[in-house]
Amino acid sequence: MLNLSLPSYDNAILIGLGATLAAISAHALVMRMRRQQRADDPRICLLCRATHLVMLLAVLGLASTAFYSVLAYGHLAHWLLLAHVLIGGGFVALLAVVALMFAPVCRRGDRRLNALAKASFLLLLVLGTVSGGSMLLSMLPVFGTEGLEQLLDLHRWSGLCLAVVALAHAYFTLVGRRVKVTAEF
Amino acid sequence: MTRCSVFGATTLGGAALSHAALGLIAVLAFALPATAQAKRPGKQSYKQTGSRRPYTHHVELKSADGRSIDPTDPAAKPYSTIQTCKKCHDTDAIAHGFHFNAASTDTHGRAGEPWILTDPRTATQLPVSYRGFPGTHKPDSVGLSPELFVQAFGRHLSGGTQSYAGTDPEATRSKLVGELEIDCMFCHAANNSFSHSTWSKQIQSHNLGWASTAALGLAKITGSAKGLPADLDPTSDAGKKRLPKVSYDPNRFDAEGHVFFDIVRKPTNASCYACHSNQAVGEGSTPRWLHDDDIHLRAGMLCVDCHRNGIEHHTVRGFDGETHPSGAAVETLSCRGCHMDSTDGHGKVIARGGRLGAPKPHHKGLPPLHLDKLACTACHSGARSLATSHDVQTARAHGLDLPSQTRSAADLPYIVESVLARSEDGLIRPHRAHWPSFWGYLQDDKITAIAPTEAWKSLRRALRVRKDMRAEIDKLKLSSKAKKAILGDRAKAKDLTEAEQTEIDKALSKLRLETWHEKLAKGFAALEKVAPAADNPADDTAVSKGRVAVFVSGGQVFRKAAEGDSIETFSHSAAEPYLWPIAHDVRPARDATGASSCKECHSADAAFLHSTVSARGPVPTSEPITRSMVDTIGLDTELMATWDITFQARGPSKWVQIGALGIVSLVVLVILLGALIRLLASRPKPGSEEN
Repeated sequence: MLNLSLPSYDNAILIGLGATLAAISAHALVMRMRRQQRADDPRICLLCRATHLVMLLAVLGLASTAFYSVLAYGHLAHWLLLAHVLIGGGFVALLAVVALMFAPVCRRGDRRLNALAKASFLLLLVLGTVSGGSMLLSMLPVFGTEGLEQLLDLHRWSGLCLAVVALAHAYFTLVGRRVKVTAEF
Repeated sequence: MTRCSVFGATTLGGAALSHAALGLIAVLAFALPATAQAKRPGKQSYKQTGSRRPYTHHVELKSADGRSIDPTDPAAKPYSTIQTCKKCHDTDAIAHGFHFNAASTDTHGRAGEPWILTDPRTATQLPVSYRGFPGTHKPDSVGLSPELFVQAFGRHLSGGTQSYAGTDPEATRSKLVGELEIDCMFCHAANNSFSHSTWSKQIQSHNLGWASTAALGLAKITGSAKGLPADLDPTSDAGKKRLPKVSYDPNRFDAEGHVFFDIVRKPTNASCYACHSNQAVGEGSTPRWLHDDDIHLRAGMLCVDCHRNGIEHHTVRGFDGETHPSGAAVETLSCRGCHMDSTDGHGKVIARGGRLGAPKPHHKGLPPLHLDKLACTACHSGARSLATSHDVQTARAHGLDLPSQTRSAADLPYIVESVLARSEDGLIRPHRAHWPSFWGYLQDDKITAIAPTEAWKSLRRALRVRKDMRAEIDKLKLSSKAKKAILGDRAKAKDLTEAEQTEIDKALSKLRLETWHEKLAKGFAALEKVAPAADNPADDTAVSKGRVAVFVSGGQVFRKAAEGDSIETFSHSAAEPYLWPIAHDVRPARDATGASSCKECHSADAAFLHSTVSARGPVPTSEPITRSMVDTIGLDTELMATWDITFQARGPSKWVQIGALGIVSLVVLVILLGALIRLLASRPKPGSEEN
């Protein structure tokens, strides 16, 4: 019988982030050879870009507090937990703002983001909802210990996926204007 | 006929068995289907009924020499529990019991309540234990020989002198006072028929060997072994005359000369309370009638339903991670193990909870992190409100369960509850705390306690105390002259204003503190005159050896200042409190701390984390050592304060998050719907190919 088991969370962090960075590096290398300037494309407004950047920085803050703590101490606790919780609250609010701002950008035919950036953004929203929602549910007197543990697992894994997708999204957004897009989302 | 019948066992013997009795044996042998000879090491065998019904005990009494007791004999001896019970019960195995081995060095797990040696004359309160719990003193190091230990604490020992007597029975005068044998009836007597008070009185009279007989009301004991010369031969005529006399109550003996023992297999809660009772005293304490008792007992359980034992009487203590001497798995007899499943650390269930119908806790909305850091008792036991820690008196420390007309809240020793602290396993639990108080010597930064009896020899003249140093200083009053200096013409007025009363109280506190310091200074001078230990008799003074007399009290050490006559204080590990975890009374889920709101713990005014506990000692002080629970637990004060602030915004934050995630979900939905519509729109319409 096929025995499928997830790698440990510690390993998953290293594998997930490592693989993403490797893929991005490889992609950047390829694109470097096929670089095409598309400076004529319209740009996203400054406020949107700034909000988007702050949200991505929040993801960076969440990922660094969580992953460092997990890798170093085995669990998230003390000041890093407090920082994670505070940044998490801000991230969810920012996610809503960015979602509203970027919704028009993600429309078909809009050339301000390439397809991969749009797709990763959509994934970012979904994973952000799952990750934030799992913690929101945990704060309500709805689930017992077992349910809360499952929600925590969901939060951990969706959070890791969110970090990976955010990394990819940041990359695709950053290089999007230089990438020749052959298929629009 | 000789018959001994004890629960779960029947043994018949004796030389003059009648035919009727033999017939009875045969009937019993067939009537007990599960009768089996349980072979034990040695030559004894024990008949078992195999029934859950307690056996009806009509027992022939035996004296310590193994002879049958004739109640009409004017020279009758007290009954021996061991000799009487051992025909049917494995007393050798029973003797291993935790309760009968206070003199054992085996800790049986985590630290427990110590015995507290109290001497009001010298204001001494010292936690002592043979088990060597860190922070306790070994009895022999503070002048408690095994004999003195039994005399001091035998009132709350259920017997087992063998473990205290040491190897020299002569030294213990056991030939005169007898042995304080393990008394089965201390716990197994039904209907409160064992008199703890009588037991204690017999021990006070040094009638150790007579205590069981008197406590069960089998006989009247007259006389006392106290003060009998050690060289008195108890077997001589003169000796026999001076030993306590036993007059058995003939009404307790049936026609066959047997005594009915009203026995319960499972000891009642009242039996446990004899030694495991407590009462809150002083300011902040709640009267007993307002207490709800332990939820488990309210539900009809017995203490022994969880604190079980086998024939070896290794009573399960019931804490997480306990290892039972028998090797039996006892995880499910702890709070966590009974109410939740026990896992192996990888999530695999190794023991399923729910014994005796224990409900599985939901802990809705409580982050699982809390269960990793808190013991169940942190929220479910101890005082309902920890706003103020309060003094508590316990059976073993204050002689509860024994009647007293003079017991007061000010009695030594001082014990405070509840103090939240981490136990050896790192979990946060409520504890009782006791700050030692004693005279000692400081040398090479090490403080050695002086046995109170030894200290008293030197301090008696210096302190000029009759019975109770603290109480006598507390009784001091201001002189008329002092009052006049404060109040002027109103010195004799009875209707003092609040301000005037405050001034008087201040002056009185100052007077008492100064008196304490005077006595301490005199005490130090007296102790430092004492020749040092025999290890260096040539050295004529203690001071010359660098030995300084000190007094430990209230979490600090008092000594004479290097210059002048004042008294100075300093910190030392010897003054640190001894803490032991408490588990009862357990409160129900709805009454647990934090059940109504996170803010019960996570707010600036939450008693759970921010209440304070002050060190308690005989010496009054205007600035007692006070610590918050955050500090006693060892948490980061700044971190917890910041958490408290974040919880102020937790409510609104939830609504913001609900709104934000709702918006994000809506955006995702719109994008996906748009994509779906476009996908459907791009599909060729049916029949379009034909066109």
